[in-house]
Amino acid sequence: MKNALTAAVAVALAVSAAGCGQLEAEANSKHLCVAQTNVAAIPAAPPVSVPFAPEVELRLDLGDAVPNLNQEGVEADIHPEAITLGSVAGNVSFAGVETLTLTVQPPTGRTDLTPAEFRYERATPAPSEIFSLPAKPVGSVDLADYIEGDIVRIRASFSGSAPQQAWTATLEMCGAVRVNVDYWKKITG
Amino acid sequence: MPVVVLLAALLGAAEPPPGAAGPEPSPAAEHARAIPPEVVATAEEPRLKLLGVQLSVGAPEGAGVSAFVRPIPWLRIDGGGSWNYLSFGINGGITVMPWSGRITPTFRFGAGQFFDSDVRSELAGSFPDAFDPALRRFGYHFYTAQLGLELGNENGAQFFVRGGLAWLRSKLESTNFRNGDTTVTADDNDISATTPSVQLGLLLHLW
Repeated sequence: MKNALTAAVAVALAVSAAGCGQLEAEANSKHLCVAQTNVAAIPAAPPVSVPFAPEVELRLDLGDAVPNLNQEGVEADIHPEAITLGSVAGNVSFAGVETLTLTVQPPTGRTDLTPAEFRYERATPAPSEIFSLPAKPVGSVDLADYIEGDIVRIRASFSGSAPQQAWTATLEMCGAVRVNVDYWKKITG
Repeated sequence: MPVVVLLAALLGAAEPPPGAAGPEPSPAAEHARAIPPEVVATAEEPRLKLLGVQLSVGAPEGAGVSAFVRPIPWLRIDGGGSWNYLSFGINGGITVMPWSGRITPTFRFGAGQFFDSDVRSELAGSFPDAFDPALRRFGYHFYTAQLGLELGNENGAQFFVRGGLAWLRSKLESTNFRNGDTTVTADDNDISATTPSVQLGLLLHLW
């Protein structure tokens, strides 16, 4: 009986001690995609196939997919499998694009972060038509660190030749997302 | 007739004749005579009832009716059905009562499962319409660890209150929603939580 009492009290104390810091909820999605249309309007390239290296500034809004990460006790991990650039019309061919580099900019003032890079390279031999450009992360990237007011700022740079028609860009980010809310920190913070 | 005589002889041999000195008492018999009357009285108290019914309400267990068995005085095992407004479920637990009395502290481990149900209408207005696909089949399982107190007759009716922690987990259906230019799709989702847990109810010791 005394052993049972000792064990019960010990377990109760252990649970209480462990529980004090663990009032939390966690949501996981192994495959979450955020697709955004009308990201940027891009003019047609000249009607001759010339090398180009333009840079386009894109803004991906993740506000509908993740909570406000500035709240006390709210944390998130976003590990993208790819960020895919396409066109709203869906019939714009990117067959002339040889490489696409998407550079995700750190939030203003985050000098500890270096820009995260995503890269697409055209397969060889080149297909005759390509309607989207999936850029894969270079190394491991946690996109949550790069969100500033729900927005991720992405600089896109191309090599090769551009579509010879005006097009409106779409962006799609797909990956695994984990969001953790620590009530204890929210209450005591 | 000879049989009756034989039986009488045997009985006569088993009991010493009146006034005759009997065999020397054994040490065990001496010890038994030394036990104070109050201890003997305790040993003769009615045994604790083995089976009963538990009625409870709380979170995240919901409202429940369970049967329980108390195989040993300090341990009770229960299992039954429950309802949490959204769906029906099953649950069970093991309760340790370190000592007996009219006020008894307890420590309980519990577990349960609320089955999937369509909770869209029950939670209408609580979530954006975008979550409808995920709420079409919503259920969860949970584990609890609780400290508590039981008050009353442990061979009759007892009121109890318990509090502690609960661990919940739920799989969520795929969802797809659109807001202006943005579309979000999510597959293979789950949510888990560590939350406070409270429960109160009645124990009826029946058999």
